[in-house]
Amino acid sequence: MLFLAGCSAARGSLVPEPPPVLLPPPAVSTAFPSTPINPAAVQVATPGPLPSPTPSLDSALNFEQLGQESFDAVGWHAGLALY
Amino acid sequence: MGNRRARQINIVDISDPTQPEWIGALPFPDGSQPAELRVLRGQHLLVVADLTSDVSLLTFDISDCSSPHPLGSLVIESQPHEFFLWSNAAHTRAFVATDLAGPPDLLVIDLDDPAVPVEIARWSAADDGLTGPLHSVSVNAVGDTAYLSLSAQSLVVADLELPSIRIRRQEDNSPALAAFPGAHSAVPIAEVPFVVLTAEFYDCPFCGLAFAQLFDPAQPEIVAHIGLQENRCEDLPDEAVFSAHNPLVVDNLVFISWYAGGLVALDVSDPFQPVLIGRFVPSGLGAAAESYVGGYPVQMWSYPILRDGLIYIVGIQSGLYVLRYTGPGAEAVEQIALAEGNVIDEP
Repeated sequence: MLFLAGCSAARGSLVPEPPPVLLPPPAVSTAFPSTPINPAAVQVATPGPLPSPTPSLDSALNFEQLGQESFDAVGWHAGLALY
Repeated sequence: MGNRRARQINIVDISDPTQPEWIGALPFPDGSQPAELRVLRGQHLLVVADLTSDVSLLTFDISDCSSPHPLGSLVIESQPHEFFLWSNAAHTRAFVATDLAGPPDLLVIDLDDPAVPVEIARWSAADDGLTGPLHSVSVNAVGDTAYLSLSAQSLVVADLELPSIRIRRQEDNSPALAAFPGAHSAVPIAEVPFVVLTAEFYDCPFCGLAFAQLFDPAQPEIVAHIGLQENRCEDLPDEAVFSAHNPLVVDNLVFISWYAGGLVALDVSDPFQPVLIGRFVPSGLGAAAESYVGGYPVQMWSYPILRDGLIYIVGIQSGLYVLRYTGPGAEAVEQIALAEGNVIDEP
């Protein structure tokens, strides 16, 4: 079985459902500088925008979606590990 | 899958990649934010960085996926933000970037005995006349070079002879920088002296992606700076963030999580002229209402992982996606058993 790894800090057992315990929002970095990047100077990667108008949702170029698991309406998913 | 809001790690059975199935969650203590996970399969070792807890680095034996066994933990002086897990036949080490919590900005944790993590080296940008924080770090396969992304400043390369961490300098002894403000991740392109850089901003103008050359170790230089059409910041929807985030390098291909831009694939055979060869933007269905960067439903975030020819990637609000790349070079990609952007595991 493959699984997206995760473990308890103090316990080693699974629980049947995610507890809906929320943390305060993490601090968003305020240390980032005001970006000096000039958007007009950024080379747009070819072949450019997707066939559908940009910005687009539900569009793909050379990718096929096999599966998705949206199981958690309260969390903010982050890092991923495969085992 | 780690989490930055709910104090838990979610476990998904992907034995059928077309139907990934949530099978459970592992709770952490109150106040925890178990966001970052890495695994060494040969050692059956899971390493977790908790972004808020006093116990900030934890190790687990995951020989039995359904019953992980806690091994050890370490309280480190600065809370972690990201880390790179590096292992060869002799040593296992976590290179921990502390971002806003530093200095120290980089901590090297020895995990040779994962039950007893031990700090063996540290580095602070200020000690070298640089400005932190350190957002992320990667290490080459040999383990003698670290690529440091200082979010306020630039890419810096360090030579590792642990416990010594020496940044590269120019002839006049000033630090050798490739200026790239907002630098988030820095990952080398295999076997050639180039590094792919992302930068993270939450407002326009978003930065996109850059490539730095290291032909002259004393003078790294940005040689290409590219973005999506949306990085022009024209007519964007509210709260959509188009920052490139985390890259996976596979030979001459780079796969990047790009927040609202989805998953982007680039051909970097010529790093001076990267070519966009693929892009996946999900529908946004199943997304939670908001995250810390707003309510736009697409926020691709994690380092992509390539395993058995399939790409696994996480969106902050909508969870796990399993994708097949079908563009140029797809046949070679399908033959790759495993590739990760934040782990070196060479037993």
